[in-house]
Amino acid sequence: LEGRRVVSYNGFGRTIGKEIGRGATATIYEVQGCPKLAVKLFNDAFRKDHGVSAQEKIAALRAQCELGSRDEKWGAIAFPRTTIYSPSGEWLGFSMNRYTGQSLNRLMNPVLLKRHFPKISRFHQIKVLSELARQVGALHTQEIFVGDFNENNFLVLQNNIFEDEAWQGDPLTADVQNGSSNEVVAIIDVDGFQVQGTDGLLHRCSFVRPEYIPPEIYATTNRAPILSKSSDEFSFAILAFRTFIHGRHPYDQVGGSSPAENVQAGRFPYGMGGAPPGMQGAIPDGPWYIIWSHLPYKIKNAFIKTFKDGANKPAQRTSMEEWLDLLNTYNRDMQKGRHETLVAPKEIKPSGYRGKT
Amino acid sequence: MSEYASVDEDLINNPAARCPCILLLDTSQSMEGEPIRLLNEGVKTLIDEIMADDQASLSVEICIITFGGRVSKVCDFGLAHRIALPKLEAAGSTPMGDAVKLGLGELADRIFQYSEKGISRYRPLVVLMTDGMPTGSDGKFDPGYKNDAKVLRAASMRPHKDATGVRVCTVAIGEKANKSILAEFGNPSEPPIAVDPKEFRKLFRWVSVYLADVVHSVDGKLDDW
Repeated sequence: LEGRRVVSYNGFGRTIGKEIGRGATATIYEVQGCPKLAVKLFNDAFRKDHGVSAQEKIAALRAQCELGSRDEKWGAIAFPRTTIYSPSGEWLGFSMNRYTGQSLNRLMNPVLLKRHFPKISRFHQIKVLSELARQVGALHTQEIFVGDFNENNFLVLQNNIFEDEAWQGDPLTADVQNGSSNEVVAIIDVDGFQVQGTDGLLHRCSFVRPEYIPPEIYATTNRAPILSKSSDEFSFAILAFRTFIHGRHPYDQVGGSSPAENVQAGRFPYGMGGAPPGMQGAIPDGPWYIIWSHLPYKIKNAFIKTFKDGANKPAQRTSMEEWLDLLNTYNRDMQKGRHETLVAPKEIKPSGYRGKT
Repeated sequence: MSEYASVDEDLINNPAARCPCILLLDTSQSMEGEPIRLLNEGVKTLIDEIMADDQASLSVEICIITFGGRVSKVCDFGLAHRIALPKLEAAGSTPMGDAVKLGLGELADRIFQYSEKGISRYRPLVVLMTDGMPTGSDGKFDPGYKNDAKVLRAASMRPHKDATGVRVCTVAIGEKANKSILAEFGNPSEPPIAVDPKEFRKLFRWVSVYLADVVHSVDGKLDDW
């Protein structure tokens, strides 16, 4: 479609640029002459079968985004902006802010971490996660649920995260809740969210990755389950765990099966009462326990609360507000030297360790 | 520690969920000349494409088994950057059943290793390619493949959530491939794909897209070929 003319709802014309990304139902393109914009154009089959409902959902998202923007600062979220049509008036898709960054996966997996973010410290990971916790919490105030916590839907805005070299460990510049360089991560693929229209109609999440969903959602046979605050809380905790523990899924264990099946079984191998090393159900071989040992007690507790008790009791899960608070405390305490700043410490945290002095 | 430690260290240091893929390739005498040259090129394309995709490069593990005169495992299961691809040569008969047997054994071993190391996995893909039919060392048709075909077909028909299921893709190369025999190895709803050696590169690129879709959790469909 590159080079093709499209028009927005008010008849304003633009030319499609290069392809940026492609999914099963749509392709994302640059817009010539508008480096800060991208358009998502749905393919023919999708428009034929789901065109009407997709248009309604996009309108609902835009409406909720505008309602919410009165009180909430969204940060970088690629909400739909304008509807895009062909010159003959056929609905094609929508435009959105364009964010260029690296998939959050590159901040997790140890191989990618070394390849793409060799200089990263724990500060950077906390900065990204606390901004995400804030954004997800803000979405929840508008009854918007993310659902698909696929790492590739979160782009780390590399220029922003490394913007200020002095930021690393500098207490004056490091308050993650303030400042314009807050935009360290962008949420994309927003039309997958679950949103309720102003008319009360519920538009469901179109796709969820099985390894990120809580047992009560996995158990439903419905391909488009109804999400809630607590399901997003569970998914966010998995994302945070995987970011801290180098891509390890919290339920990965010796003798385990697929992530979704391990979640169903509900055995979280970290914390008190875990299986001894090497036994069925234990934490797998590797540096995982060492990294875990360096997490602050309260962060560990938040994971345990969510993955042990909270697996089958949604109300027990750590909330987005709690996460934001815990991550900010982690950040502040780390600046005071109370926690290890390396993302991959080599030794288990000694008992009584209070950071480098 | 180097980024590229040994194969087994990969299972400790890289926790990404894996998608194991076995290529069972006919390298019998009849593949000599252009077909074997194009097959070498095609396999290389697959490996290059997988390396080019972040997620696939961490998740897709390939094992290559050839059957030409004898069955040989030319590459152990490993991530794409581990694979030192030898030049495949064409010779001998077509011991297809034995190749399937070895492949399923290797797959079971690898899956056990994943489980031991707490690595989760996606449904494995088995690609079986031939330009003929199963033959014995005398070059004559050998019905001994039947049982191996039955085992592979049964695995291909297990439901999606069944941990012992595999995805099977059978590929009939050229005019002389016996499609009805080949079909016995796979799921009846996915008959063999007919491919000319000239299309090998396209075929392997398509396999790489399928594998990338699996590890990106997009529903891959083999019937899109």
